Amino acid sequence: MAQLVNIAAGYIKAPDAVMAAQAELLRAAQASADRARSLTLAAVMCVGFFYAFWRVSPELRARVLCEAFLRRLFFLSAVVAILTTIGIVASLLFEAVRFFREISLFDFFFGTHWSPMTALRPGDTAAADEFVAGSSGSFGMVPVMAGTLLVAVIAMAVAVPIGLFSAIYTSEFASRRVRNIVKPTLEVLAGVPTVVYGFFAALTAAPFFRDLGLVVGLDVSSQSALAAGGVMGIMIIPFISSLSDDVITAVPQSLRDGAYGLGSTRGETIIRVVLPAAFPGLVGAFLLAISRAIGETMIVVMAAGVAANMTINPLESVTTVTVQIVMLLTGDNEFDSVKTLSAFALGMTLFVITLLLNVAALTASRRLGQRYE
Amino acid sequence: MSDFLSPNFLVFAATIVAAFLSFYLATGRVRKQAIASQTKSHSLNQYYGFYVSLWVLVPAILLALIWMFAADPMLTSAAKARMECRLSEPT
Amino acid sequence: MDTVVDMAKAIKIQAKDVNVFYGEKQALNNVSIDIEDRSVTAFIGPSGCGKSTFLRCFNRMNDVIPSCRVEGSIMMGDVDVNNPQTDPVLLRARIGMVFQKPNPFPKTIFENVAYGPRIHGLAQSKAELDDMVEDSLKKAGLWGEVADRLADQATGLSGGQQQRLCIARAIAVGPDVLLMDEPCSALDPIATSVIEELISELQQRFTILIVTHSMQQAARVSQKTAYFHLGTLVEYGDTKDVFTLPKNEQTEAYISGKIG
Ligand SMILES: Nc1ncnc2c1ncn2[C@@H]1O[C@H](COP(=O)(O)OP(=O)(O)OP(=O)(O)O)[C@@H](O)[C@H]1O
Ligand SMILES: [Mg+2]
Repeated sequence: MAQLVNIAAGYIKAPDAVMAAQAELLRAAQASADRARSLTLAAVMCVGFFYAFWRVSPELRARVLCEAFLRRLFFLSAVVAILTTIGIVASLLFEAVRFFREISLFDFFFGTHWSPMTALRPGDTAAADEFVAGSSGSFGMVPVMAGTLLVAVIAMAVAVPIGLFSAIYTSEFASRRVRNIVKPTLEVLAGVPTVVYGFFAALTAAPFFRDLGLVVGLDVSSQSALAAGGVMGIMIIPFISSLSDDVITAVPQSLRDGAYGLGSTRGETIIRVVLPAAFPGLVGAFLLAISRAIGETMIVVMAAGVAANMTINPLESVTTVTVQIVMLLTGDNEFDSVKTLSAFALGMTLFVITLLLNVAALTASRRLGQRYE
Repeated sequence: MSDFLSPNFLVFAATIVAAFLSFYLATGRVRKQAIASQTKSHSLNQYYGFYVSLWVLVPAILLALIWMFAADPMLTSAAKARMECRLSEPT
Repeated sequence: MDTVVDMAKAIKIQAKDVNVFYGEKQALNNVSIDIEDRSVTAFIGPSGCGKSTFLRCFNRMNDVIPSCRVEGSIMMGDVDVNNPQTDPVLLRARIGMVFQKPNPFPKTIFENVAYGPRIHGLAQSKAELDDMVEDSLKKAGLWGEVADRLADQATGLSGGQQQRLCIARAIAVGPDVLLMDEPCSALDPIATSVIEELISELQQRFTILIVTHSMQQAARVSQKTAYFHLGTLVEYGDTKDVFTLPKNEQTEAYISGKIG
C-alpha cells in the first residue's frame, strides 16, 4: 500500500501496468479530494468571516471574546501536552503487553539470562540448546538491569561528592566574583552534547582505565562499566551541583546566623545546620540525577558494551537497558518479533523506574519547601 | 509546477492573506461605526480585528485537521480495496 | 542616691568610637557607650538608624557580611572584641544572641538546646548534657511546656515557644552577655509579656542588650536606654530619665511619637 501511495506521489516508478493504473486512479482521487478540500475551506472561511464581520459593532464585547479564545487555547495546549504523554505511555504499554503474552512476567523480571539475538536464530548451533529450551530463557532482564544499576552507581559515586562539594563551595565559601566564574563554567559542562561525552568515554576514558589496569596488574575490559559510569558521572556533575546549589542557597540565612551566633565555625554551621536543613532537597536532587543516569543512552552505547554480564565488577563490560533498546530497534528488524517487542518491555520498565524516582524526588523537595513556609 | 506554488500551498497562503485582510476590514468597520454612532467601542479596535480573524482561521484549521485524519486515510483505503479487488481477479 | 546605686554597678562592656561601614556607606558614627554589668540596656531609634548593626558589633556578627567593616574598640573585660586576633567563635560562645525572627534549627527541641554545648564540648556525659538542656529550658521558662516532647521537631512549636527555645539555646552555651534584636517583634502580647518577664529574671545573671521598637517595652524591662538617630548615639542614660526628661529634642520627638 505504501508503495502505491509512493508511486502515486511520483516518488518511485510503477513496476507494472496494473500498479501504474491503480496509482493513476489514486492520484486522480487525491487530486479531486484536494480540490474539494480547498473549496470547502474557502467556503468555511467565507461563512466564518461574514458571520463575525456582521456581528462587529461598537457594542460587541470583542475583548472578552478574544480572552475566552486565549483561555481555551492555553487549556488546549496543556491538554495536548498531557495527551501526548498518555499516548506515548499507552503505546509503550500496548507493545509491552504483547511482549508479555509471549514471555511470562516472571521470566522477564527474574530471568538471569539475556540474549534476545540468539533466541531468534534457530539454525545457529551455539544457540540451538537455548532455542530448544524455548525463547523464554533469553529474555531475563536481571543482568541488563544489574548493568544499568552498576553504571548508575558508578556515575553517582563520581558525581555526588564532586557535585555536592562544588555546590557547597559555590554557595557557602565562594566570593561573588568566584561564584560568577565557577557556576557558568560548570553549566557549560551541562551544555556538552552527550554524544561528545560518549566518544570521550570510548576513546579516552576506556583506554585510560585499561592502561591503568595494566599498570596495577588488573584486567580491565576495554569497554568497562567504570569508564562509562565515570564519564556519565562527569556528565551529571553540573546537574547535581546546580540543583544542590539552589537547595543550599534556599536554606534561610537566619539559620546560619543562629549557628554563628552560638559560636559555630563555618564548617560546623555547614555540616550541622545547613546540610541537615537542606537534606530533603539534596535527596531530591540526587534522585533526579539517578533517573537521568539510568535513562542516559549515548555514553553507554559508545562505551559500556553489549554483553549482558551478570556482574558487580566495575572492571568488566556490562550492558544497560538503554543500550539494549538501541540494539534491538536499530537495523533491519521485523517490527513485531518478540525480540523487538522486548525493547518495549525494557522501555516500560525503565519508564516506571524513572517515574518512581522523579515522584520520590518531588516529594522530597516538597517536604523541604513545607519546612520553611 | 514547483512545490512552492503547488495548489495546496496556494490555499495555505490564501488563508493567511484572508486572515490579515479580515483583521483590517474588521478594525475599519468598527472604527467607522463608532464614529457614525458617536459612541465609544467596547474594546480596542484591534480586538475586533482579532475576533474576525479568529473566526476565519479557527474553523478552517479545524476542518483541515479533520480532513487530514479522516479523508486521506479513507482515500488510501479505498484505493487499497480496489487494488485487492484487481489482484483477486484472474489475470 | 540613684547615682550611688549606678556607681555600684560595674562596667561590663566599653565601646569607644565605633564606626561601621557597609561598603562606602557609613552606618554608625563614632558611637561610644558603657554597658553596665547585670542590667538591661535598651537600644531604641527609628528604623535604619543602626541599632541592629551596633548590636551585631558586640559578637562580631558583622563579620558574616562581606561588605561590612567595623572600626573602633569594644572592650569586654579585658577582651578586645574588635581585635583581629580575637577568635569570634570563642567570643560568640560568651555572648549569646537572639534574633528578631525565631530561628530554631530543623532538629528536635532537645537537639536545638544541646547544639551549643555539643559544639563547644561543654558536657562530659549524656547525663550532664540532659541536665544542661533541662536547666536552660527552665531558665527560658519553656520547660513546663516541652518537658514531655523534647524529641519533637522544634519547628512544630508556636512562635512564642520557638523564641523562648532560641533564648534557651543561647543560654545553654553559658554566656554572660545576651544580645536580643527585637525578640518580641513577631509575637503576640501574651508571648511578649512572657519574654519580658523572662528578661527581667535573666537580668540577675546576664548582661542584656535589647533592641526594641516598643517604647513601653524599653520602659518596662530596661535600666538604661540608648537612643540612636541616623547612625549616631543621640542620648544615653537611665531609662526613667530618658523617658521622663529627655535632654535631646530629637529623643523627645521620638518617644512622644512625633518621628520614627
Ligand atoms: N547587609 C547590609 N548591607 C548594606 N547595608 C546595610 C546592611 N544592613 C544594614 N545596612 C544599612 O545600615 C543601616 C543600619 O541598618 P540596621 O539594620 O542597623 O538598622 P536598624 O536600626 O536595626 O533598623 P530596624 O529598626 O529597621 O531593624 C541602614 O541604613 C541599612 O540600610
Ligand atoms: Mg534591626
